[in-house]
Amino acid sequence: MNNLFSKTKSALYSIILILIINTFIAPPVFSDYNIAVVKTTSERSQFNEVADNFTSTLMQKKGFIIKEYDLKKTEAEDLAKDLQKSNTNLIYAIGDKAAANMTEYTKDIPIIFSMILNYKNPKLKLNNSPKVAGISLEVPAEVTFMQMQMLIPNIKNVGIIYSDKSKEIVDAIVSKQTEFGININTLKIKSADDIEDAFDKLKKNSQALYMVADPAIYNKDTIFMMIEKCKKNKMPFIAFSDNFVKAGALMSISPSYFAIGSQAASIAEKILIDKMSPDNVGVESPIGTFFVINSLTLTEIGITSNEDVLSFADKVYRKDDVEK
Amino acid sequence: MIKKSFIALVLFFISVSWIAAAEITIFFYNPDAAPTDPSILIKTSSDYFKKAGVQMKIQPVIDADVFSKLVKEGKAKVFIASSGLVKSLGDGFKEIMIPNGEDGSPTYKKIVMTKADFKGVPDLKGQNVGSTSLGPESLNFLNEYLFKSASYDLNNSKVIYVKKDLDALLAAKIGQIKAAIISEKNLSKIEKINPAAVAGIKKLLTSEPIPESPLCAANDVSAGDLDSLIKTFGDMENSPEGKEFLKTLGYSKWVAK
Repeated sequence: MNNLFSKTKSALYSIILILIINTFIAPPVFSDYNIAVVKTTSERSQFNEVADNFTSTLMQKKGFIIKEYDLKKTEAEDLAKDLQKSNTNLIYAIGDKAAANMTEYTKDIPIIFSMILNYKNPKLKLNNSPKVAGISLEVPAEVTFMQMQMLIPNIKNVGIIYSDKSKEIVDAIVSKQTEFGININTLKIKSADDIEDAFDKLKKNSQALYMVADPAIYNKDTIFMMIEKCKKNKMPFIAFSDNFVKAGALMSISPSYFAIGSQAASIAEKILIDKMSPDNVGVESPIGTFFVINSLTLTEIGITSNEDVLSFADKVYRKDDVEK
Repeated sequence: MIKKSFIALVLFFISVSWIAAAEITIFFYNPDAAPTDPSILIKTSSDYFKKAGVQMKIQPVIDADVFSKLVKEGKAKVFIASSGLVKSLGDGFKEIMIPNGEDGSPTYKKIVMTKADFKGVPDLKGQNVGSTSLGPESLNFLNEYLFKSASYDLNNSKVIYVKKDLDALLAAKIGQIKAAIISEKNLSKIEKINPAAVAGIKKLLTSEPIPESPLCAANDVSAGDLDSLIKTFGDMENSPEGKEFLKTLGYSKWVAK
């Protein structure tokens, strides 16, 4: 009996000793990082997709507490004050309203933004802010051209019509043309009125027309005109939105909203775990694309592609889709 | 007259609901085997099911987390899912059919692609790695089949989940991420379509053989429905429509388990 008591006593002492050693010698346990996801729900359904993938990516790792906030239900200024008080370590702002408000009303909480068409817009005050990192919506030209080459195997010359509004984008594409082995022919015009003449000039040395986001020359009328002219001349028209593919453009490449959420999670890790400052992270171009093909246009302009290309497209418009 | 009309109406609704209930919906999630556009899968599968004269339909789900929820809540009773995802779904179901790939094997491999000058697996620490999602257990699954052999824990990298292998590969090629985890089958396809897309990148690591996506049924699916599923999937290789459906999935046939 005494022997049993003595064994139990020594076991208890051992447990207490282990607990004391663990308390003082074991590495410190990191506290969880508090992340606020701020968006305006129902503003765009894609915002929810982005937020969900951000959360599911981080939840696979330990140490993150993520809460979502809706600017439709809360005043931005009040929310910013609450986040500041509640030791929020990072804000993920989805959309321009969330990003601009959180940047304006919070002091030193790092902010990651995404889903903003023009993050350089001075009104948003995001560009060059030291507490802001983000993801743009501009798919790298190399990615667009590599996917274009998958669909149009022998393409060598691509034409771009642009104005001063899109000069920066076009210059970036031209500077990389040797990387993707395509000769880019550019033609600068002043307004939408000049686009028809520009097309007639450009078609002589271009096998396809690549549309850049340029509101000075592309409007509903000129886009439809270009789609029809391209079809008539058996030229692929490469757009930046799937709406134009449904209307008859051959293909479009736009960012993948699904991947943007996960990419924002990787930036959150850079800031919180790797201790990178947001301005060192900067603004990343989006990873992943939404690749859309119009199979009717493909047939109509006589392009023979490897049929496996369609399996990599996120959306293929067929006869039934186009007639809807 | 009113009574007769009422009875006819009730009978009509009962028959409609009976027909609807008789249809088997097969939920689907597998970014390694399916075309990215779900409508391609819906079309080829419905062509085959129509030809086979069965009341079945494929319901692709594009988000692994949504898929997991549907299965766990008992809303998806019959499903085809990547083996990595199946492992995380609990035990309320059984695997009833296993597909064979186009090479006749019931397994496939995933590979890690990096730029040609990338040194080795340990250098992935802290870096961005792109992969399609296999659900909430993606990291554990990739560790088990891919990184265990290299004594590396993928939790040490930042994994960016993309919709399709092509996205990860192109991002690795232009340096947006350090490595792309893709299926070997998709690498071959991309290489055939556009060799330039894979120029300058190399295979860093190859996985153990990963089981192809099984056809699963919840434990409470009726014996009649199970028989019907086994017969329909087993016969798939015997008709042009079935072969087209198999081709869409990258399989050659289904084998009962």
